[in-house]
Amino acid sequence: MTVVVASGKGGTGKTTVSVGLALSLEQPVHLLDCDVEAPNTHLLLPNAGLDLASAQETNRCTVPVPRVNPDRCTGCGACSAFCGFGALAVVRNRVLFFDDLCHACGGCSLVCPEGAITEVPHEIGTIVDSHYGPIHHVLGELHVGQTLAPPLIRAVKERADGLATIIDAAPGTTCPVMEAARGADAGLLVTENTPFGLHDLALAAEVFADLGIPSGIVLNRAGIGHEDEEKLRAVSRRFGFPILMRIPFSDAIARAYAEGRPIVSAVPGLRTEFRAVYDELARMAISPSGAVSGARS
Amino acid sequence: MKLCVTTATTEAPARLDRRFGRSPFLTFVDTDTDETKIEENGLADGASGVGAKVAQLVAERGATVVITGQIGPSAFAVLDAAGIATYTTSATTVAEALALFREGRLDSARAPTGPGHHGGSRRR
Repeated sequence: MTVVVASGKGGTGKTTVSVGLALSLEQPVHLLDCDVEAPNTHLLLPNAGLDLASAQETNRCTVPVPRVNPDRCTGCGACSAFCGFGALAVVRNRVLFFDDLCHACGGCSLVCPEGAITEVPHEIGTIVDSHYGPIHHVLGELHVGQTLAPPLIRAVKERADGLATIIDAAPGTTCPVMEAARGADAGLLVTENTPFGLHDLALAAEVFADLGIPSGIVLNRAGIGHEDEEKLRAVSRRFGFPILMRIPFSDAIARAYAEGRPIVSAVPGLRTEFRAVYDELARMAISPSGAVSGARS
Repeated sequence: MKLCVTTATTEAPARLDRRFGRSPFLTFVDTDTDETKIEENGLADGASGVGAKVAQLVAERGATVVITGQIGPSAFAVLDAAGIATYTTSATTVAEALALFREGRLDSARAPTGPGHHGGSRRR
């Protein structure tokens, strides 16, 4: 089963929950950090401070971008007219290419009537594999200045091979979140009981409902924010996403987090709760006939 | 000589739009004939790469001078390659900007005035 952890609002505890869940399963599990613009799962794993530069296995992630052969190019502008992202401009019969605008769709090389465009690899980020006990940890990191997160997220997801898989998604409801969530069997939306937390929870829930991913809610820092949980329950009811866990707003958890330790080491009882969440998600994801429901592609 | 001024509103006095790329209108002025043409910028609401596309459009219209408030790296590179001079101003109306240009009181931009936006102001 693949569980994607998302939130809407940033800073609600996606990484805390992802790492806590992975450490609690006591079985081989892929933990995929798909928040490639700011990956941080490595900070909360038991040997925190993984040196990304000298990690066990590092792979470069590239996307194909156009290279124009000036001897063949006639400056007709077909490539530029096709490109929906403004990555190619033709002025004075010369093609200008902006790699930071290119979405690597390959369309320009197809429409060029002169066969003047070939594709060359352009590095956008790195993928780091490492192992912590039963956890296979994969972290994608987009290079500074690069904007094309989805291809890197796809490459990170390809490292998982059908075992239990936990995906730590980016905050928000943008393309990188959709890419991380695509094909997941279940979703876990982490929120806090504050106006911002609930507002963005509803946005994220809308995305997961549209994607057809059955999901549950984790309330983090339970005890802060609104007086009661009425508004939270309203979101839960509206989307049919049950509240599966409450992580208390506690000194012990805050200390562990600040020290870069996973919360299950500070409050061991949480392991049982995380396992119960996983089991409930498995129940929601799998229909009684045993077929996987949801948005499997 | 043909000038292009990024334009926010068309009713007199037409206001200059400080943004290159996402201005709703482009005012083209032919200084030889004094003919003025206001064109709706159909590219203004694009998702990304708007600056580069509008720069290419301005080049296709035959302008050799752009007057705007600020300009990003892609748009600047296209205008530069097209041999178009870019002038930046804090003037609020098109007429004021044109007058300053004619008096030789506008600064020519030799580099982009800021970083790219990648889809408007919503950066993460």
